[in-house]
Amino acid sequence: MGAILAVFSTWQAAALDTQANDVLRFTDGSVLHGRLLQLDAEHGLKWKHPDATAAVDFLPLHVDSVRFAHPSVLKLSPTCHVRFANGDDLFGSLGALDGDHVELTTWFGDKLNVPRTGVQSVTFLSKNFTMLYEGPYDSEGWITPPSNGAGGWHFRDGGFSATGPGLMGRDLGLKGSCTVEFDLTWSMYLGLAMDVYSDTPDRIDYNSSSYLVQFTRGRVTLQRLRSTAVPKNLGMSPEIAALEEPGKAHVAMQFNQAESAIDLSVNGVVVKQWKDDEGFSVSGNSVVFEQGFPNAVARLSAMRISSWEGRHEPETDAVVTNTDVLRFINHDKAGGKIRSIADGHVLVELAPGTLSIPLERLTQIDFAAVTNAPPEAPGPWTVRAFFPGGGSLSFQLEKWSADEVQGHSAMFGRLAFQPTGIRELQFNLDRPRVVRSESPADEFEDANE
Amino acid sequence: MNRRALFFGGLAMCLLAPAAVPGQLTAAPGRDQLLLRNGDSLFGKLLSVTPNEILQWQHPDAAAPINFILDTVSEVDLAARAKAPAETGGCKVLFANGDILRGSLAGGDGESILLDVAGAGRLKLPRNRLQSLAVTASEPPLLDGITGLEGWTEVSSPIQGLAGVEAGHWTYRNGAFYASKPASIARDLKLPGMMRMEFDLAWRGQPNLAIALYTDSLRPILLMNKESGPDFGAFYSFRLGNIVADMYPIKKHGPSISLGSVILAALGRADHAHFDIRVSKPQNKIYLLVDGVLVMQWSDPNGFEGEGTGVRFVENSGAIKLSNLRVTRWDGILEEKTENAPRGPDDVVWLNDGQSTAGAITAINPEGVSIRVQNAAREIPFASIREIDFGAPPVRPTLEGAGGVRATFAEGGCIHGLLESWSADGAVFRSPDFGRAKFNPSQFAALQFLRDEGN
Repeated sequence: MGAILAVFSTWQAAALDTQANDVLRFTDGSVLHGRLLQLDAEHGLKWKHPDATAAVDFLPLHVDSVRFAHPSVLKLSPTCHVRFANGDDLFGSLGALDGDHVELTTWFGDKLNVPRTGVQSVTFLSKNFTMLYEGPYDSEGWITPPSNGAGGWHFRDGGFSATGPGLMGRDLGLKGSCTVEFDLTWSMYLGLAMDVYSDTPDRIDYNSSSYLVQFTRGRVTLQRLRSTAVPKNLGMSPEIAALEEPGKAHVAMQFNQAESAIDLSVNGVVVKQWKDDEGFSVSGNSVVFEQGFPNAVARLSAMRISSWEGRHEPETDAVVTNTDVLRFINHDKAGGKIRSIADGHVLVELAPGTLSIPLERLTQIDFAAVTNAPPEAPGPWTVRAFFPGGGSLSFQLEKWSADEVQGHSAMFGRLAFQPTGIRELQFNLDRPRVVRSESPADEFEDANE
Repeated sequence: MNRRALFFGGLAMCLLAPAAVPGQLTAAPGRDQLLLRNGDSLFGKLLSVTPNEILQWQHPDAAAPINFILDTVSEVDLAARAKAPAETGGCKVLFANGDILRGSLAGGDGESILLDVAGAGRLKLPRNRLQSLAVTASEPPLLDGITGLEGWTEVSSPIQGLAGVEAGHWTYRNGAFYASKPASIARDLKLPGMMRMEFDLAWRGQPNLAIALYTDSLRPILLMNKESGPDFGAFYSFRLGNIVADMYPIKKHGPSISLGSVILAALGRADHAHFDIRVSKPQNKIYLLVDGVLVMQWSDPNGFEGEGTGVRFVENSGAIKLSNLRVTRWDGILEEKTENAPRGPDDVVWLNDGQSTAGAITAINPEGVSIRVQNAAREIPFASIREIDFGAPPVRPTLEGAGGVRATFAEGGCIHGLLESWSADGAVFRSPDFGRAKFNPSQFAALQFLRDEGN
């Protein structure tokens, strides 16, 4: 594959962070705030910590990750989400496919030809998919009423945490259908409420038209708030194993205006689908979160809020088989061998014969499992970059400076980025990591010492 | 104030495990941990603290030592270094500000005492800064703190099999055991007939703890099935539920009848407390002190029924932290004063037999204490002394200059002062109590850097 110079041409200009709020994590759980000054294979990682008298040069041997406080915000309008066999994933548009290669257009700005064996799945996104919010990178734009008290929501290190009752909200300009997703970490008790399409970002108004989602231990309940009547209970989810124990779960809720349906996914699995028989009638544009319990920790991170039109199928984990699997918008599924994709159609060998199917009829393609996907060589300089708005890419990091990140990918060839386009950089991908979490034990330390 | 309460107050300041920040990870053996005021942490090794207020830190991946501005450092948890010189002491001196120094008594008079402290030499301690001097028991404790799960038998609580009850486990971290779901942990400590067990307990919600004393079973007993379950020897079950404490003799057969309960109203407003359980097998008695105050005395009319020598902690619900667990042989003396009793002008010498003598100490040395009692001089052999309370309200000194350090000894106790320097050769403190002294760095377990404003 030829060299690729990938430039963030579509990124909004953003000034380099002048505050020391980048976060350097080590594999042993140590954490340093500060700012990454330079990174290359010769000198290692140069880090400026505000409490140290000089910049520190670290070798990457035990570095877990660097998270950047204020990456550039990307206005994405992708049409598909591509997941690769090596764990990478990118948002973009699918151009063409033949026996050997897949042509993708990504936010990189160029057309990429990647080996077909490296592609695991392609999920087709809804019409007019727009990322409204991705973060948090700070608390700007969020309203936290003063009645919160000390335990209310506070921003720290890429997430909002509450150690007691508190509320926060934000006008995100929600309109039509939307998806709200986030990582939820909790301890002790789970008592989180989320009001979507609220009129009032500073409170939960039971006299507005919105959807109130309540997360409790093992269950999620949905209510529709109505301005002209008492709230209507739309029902409770079945027991959700991932919410039974304190820990971390990825929550995604899809509010489908066209179908008056609300889907709840936890850790990538759809656990509940509600139907609002009275129709999808909402009045506001805000999202509000409220932590209800004292003496409990809740943390929201990796938040993504997007709007879209028409149908929107929850993204499904790819099924690993020896055939290509096509998922249709009517929920049918068919296995076969894809010969090509071109001009908005997929040519596929199915049992009845070779068919040409319009891509707009598909929600997802899971490609047959392969064993010869090009791997990245393991090592301390093999990194995975995570991008604002979603997507990640692993490559051999060669140099990082204030202007440019350079590297090489076994799949994509030579890469060059603007550093402000990266949200997080993970190192030592093959090393075990210490997981930090909000645990009851941590709270004891807070309280007593 | 109660004498024990005062003493425990001092202990509470000095014997707590090094403070931690949310999300702090357990320090691995051989590595120090640096905690900064902004919440950052870094493993590695403390190299030095210099007079120009720079803390030099060595990180294994850093090309050169890292110099941190001392004012930004919150704490250093120190890994065990080469073994510190053994305590030659025999005395534990409690200062008015809660500091504790261990050492050997070298002498003293009405104005000061001289204490030989391992690694620091002879220190002169002004009497008006001292609260008490305790003669350290020559017999080592049966258990002195929680250092890990090794030696303990840890299993889920027996009630976890009941409907709706989830299994839990005790976990170890930073000198404490934690449980947030039903779990049991037990150890055969070879409890003697005269026993004292102290511990700190912190909880979320309401405590629901059962402690089996003198048990022969390291696995928990499900009381509702005790007669059909595995055999076990009789033991005492101390129950702490919300604000009520109970003591039950538990036998394989027959009903379990409480020896009595006590309401501990203060626990309803608290989230932690210091517990002190003392047992006299010859007298069939068990005493409970909470935060230094005697709150209950149980007598077993059927004689002492505990058949084992182990102890078992069973958390039945809620979240709990158990720390500073210390088990010693008890001398059988339970001297308690009226709560908030004013401190008199006299020095009080407490003897091993529980008696006391009040007066003015004029001299003190390793051989004995000279005390003037109503114009009559008395000599008390040091070997018969258990503790000395120094009379008159002690002066609580304030730290001079900016900030200060609370340095916790690995063997327990701590001192406050200004840290002038720290290196492999020595740690130089300037104490408002005993002046400038150089300690062996290996004696310390933690350094907490206090803020200027009143800490």
